[in-house]
Amino acid sequence: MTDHPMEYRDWLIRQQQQDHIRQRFEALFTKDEDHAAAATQGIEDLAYHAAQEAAAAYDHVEESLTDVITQTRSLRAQIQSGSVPEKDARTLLADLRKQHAKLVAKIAPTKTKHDSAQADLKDPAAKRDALIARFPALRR
Amino acid sequence: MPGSHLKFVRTLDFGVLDGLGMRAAAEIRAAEDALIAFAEQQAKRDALHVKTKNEIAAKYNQQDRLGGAA
Repeated sequence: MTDHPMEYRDWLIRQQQQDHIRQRFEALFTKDEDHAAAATQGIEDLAYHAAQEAAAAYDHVEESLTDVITQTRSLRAQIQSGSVPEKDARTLLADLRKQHAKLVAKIAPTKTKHDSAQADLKDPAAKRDALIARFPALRR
Repeated sequence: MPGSHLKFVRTLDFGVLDGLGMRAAAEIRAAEDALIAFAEQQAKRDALHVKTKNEIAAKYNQQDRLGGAA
């Protein structure tokens, strides 16, 4: 008979412990879920800004290359008509060549940035998982 | 919500930029060719000018000498 109240008390204690553990586990799980969602949203926001930056760089390169083409055509016409001194023409051509090289060098990094941002926007969770795999300290 | 930003992002055609880059390079080469052609033409003209000037000078010098002798 005396065992029964003891067992009941043990049972209650065990129940309370299990409830407590479950609550802590759920709290942790919810926290993790929230953290994961926040991280995913953060990655998506970063990717969106990166995509915007890539689009701005694309527009700049497109506009500037068009300018280079226009200026070069104009310079060629001036050269052919003899209205520009040879020394000046050489200086202007060297400057146009420099501008062209600078602009062309921006194309590949802009494309990489754009493609990466698009991929992250399509699947931010995959990016988050990749980051966690690369930097385990990010795991919570 | 994942992918919510995607619809606001422009898809960029980098083939356009590659094409513009190649076109600009071709225009620069054409301008360089024009400059070289112009410089060569100018050099030929200058050489011809000097040659003509020397020929004329030589001719008048000869006439002067002949006139002096007469």
